[in-house]
Amino acid sequence: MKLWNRCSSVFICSALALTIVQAQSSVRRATGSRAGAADAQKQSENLLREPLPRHAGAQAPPSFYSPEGLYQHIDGGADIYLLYGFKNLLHQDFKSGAAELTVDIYEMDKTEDAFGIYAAERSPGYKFVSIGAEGYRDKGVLNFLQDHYYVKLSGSDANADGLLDQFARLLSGRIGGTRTLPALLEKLPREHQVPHSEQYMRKDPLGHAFLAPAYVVAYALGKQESKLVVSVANNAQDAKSRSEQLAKHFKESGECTSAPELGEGGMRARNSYEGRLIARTQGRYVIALLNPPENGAEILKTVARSLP
Amino acid sequence: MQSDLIHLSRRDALIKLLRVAGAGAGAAGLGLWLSEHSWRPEPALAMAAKRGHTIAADLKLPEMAIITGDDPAQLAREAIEELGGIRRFIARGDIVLVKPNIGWDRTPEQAANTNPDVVAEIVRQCSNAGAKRVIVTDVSCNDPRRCFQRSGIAEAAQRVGAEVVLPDPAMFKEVDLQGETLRAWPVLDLFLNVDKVINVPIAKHHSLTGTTLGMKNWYGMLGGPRHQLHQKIHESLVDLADFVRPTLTIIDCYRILVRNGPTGGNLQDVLLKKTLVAGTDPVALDAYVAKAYWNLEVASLPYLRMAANRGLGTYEFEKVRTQIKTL
Repeated sequence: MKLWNRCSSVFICSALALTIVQAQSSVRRATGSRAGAADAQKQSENLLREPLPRHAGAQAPPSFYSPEGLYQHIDGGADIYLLYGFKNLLHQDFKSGAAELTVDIYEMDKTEDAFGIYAAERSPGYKFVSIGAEGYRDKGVLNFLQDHYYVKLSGSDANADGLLDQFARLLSGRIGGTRTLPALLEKLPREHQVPHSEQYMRKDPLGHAFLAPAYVVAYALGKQESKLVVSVANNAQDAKSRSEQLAKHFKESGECTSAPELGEGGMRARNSYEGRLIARTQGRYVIALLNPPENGAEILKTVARSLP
Repeated sequence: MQSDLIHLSRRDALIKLLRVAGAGAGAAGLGLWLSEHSWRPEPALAMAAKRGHTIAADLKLPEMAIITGDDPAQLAREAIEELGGIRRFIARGDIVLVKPNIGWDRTPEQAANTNPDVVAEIVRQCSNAGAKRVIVTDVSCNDPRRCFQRSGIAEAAQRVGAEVVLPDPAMFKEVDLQGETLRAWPVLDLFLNVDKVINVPIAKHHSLTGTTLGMKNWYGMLGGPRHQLHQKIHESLVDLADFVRPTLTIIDCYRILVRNGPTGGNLQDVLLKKTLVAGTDPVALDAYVAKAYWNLEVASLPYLRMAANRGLGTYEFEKVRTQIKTL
């Protein structure tokens, strides 16, 4: 009986202690995340501190949107931002003379995520400007990428375009950090590459979930367009598994044969709706070329040589 | 107390434990029973909310009109005419709510909001038919004042006598939408007691569903947390479409946003199609526009099949009576 009483007491005390520890830890987590969000907001807000171009004045205090609140601001547009690790949005309206300006600064988790969402929204046909790592503009719109920020500016009035440009340069200076596209893209062959076609896809590259995340770049040789995919796996084993899934997919939907001349895990495949594909692995990467040109094998080898 | 503990037998301890557990289970059960059986007053407007605004079918008239031409106002006029004329839809003394998309701080050229000339022409037609009031409203995503002004809709609609209403938080009422997914939700009260509802969305790209058309436009009558709506987007679209059942739908395809919807912004993402698609079957209209401009099949848009199963229309748009006209 003494044992029973002792066990009961120990159990009750342990349960109480566990509850207290859990409560404290969740309070710490909540406080920590609130503090983190407040820091991020302060950092974003600081980007828009005085002085501002042409004495632009804020029309209202800035609004901040968390991942949960983003739908209130951009409705269904939020989905793709959340896919790319959206952390925080600062939204603020300004006025300078008759010109009105809206600033949206999206803070993403990582630089490749910022590139991913930026690239998902841009099209090779846009008018590009050299601000940040890359930017583009149209009448009343100027968007650019820098470090882990994606900045979107829009304005109205005939004079707004000049104001957009000044705001963009000011923000770029204040953001600092990385002003280049993801390093992996620099390693890919430039010849015949379609300018501004690079993508970083977190979901279904070439329609295959198992290849994500992956960089996708278009190449054009005459009228023929090819797509180069560099799937970034966790390690060499994961890359091998992705490559096997790709082979399985083509075996089931068309044909796929081993092609050792292409290098590690080389394969040649085709089906009626995706067309022809050549692929290989290199370390933790799967390199695939859809609709390859005549020198496709050479491109695969060049890419493989440039990857670690 | 100390002596009680010391002399507690294993049997006594078990009995005490069972008593505590029994009391707990009893309390939980009572709570559950009370939550289901207790009388709670329903909000007055929720009880009075009008569900459905459809008119009787007329087998001699088209169910869908696809009109192409240069002048957006003329397209709206012709579309309504082809469907039987405005008096088929609006009776003298009706209170009419016209629901464009005014969700975004964008100009008409950016094609994120409904074309203002189309909205104005619909208002004019309703007034000509003797409508007592024609209300134009939307729950914007961006700052409503800027959206209503920059879209050009406030000015265009006011010019022809519409009551343009910018929603404010006091105008939302909790309503039981009686949907399969959506139940109690804050709804803009203007939608609850009107005689007729005309849905005037703009056709746009949408990152989640591929395209946003007529049924998606009903998100613009709701308050509350939007992220919850997107968790079950197809189900919630059908619940809302079932709740409203509009009198008439006119999808603005004059300019369509083919990338980066629903916000857009870049003029290079906009295509000029100079077309309006109008009709009384909202499911057929959405299915047609999705196929015509985005090459999306029914399988890509599950809400179409779900809406058809709910009796809201047919996704087999090829089977509906259609009038195609180029001006």
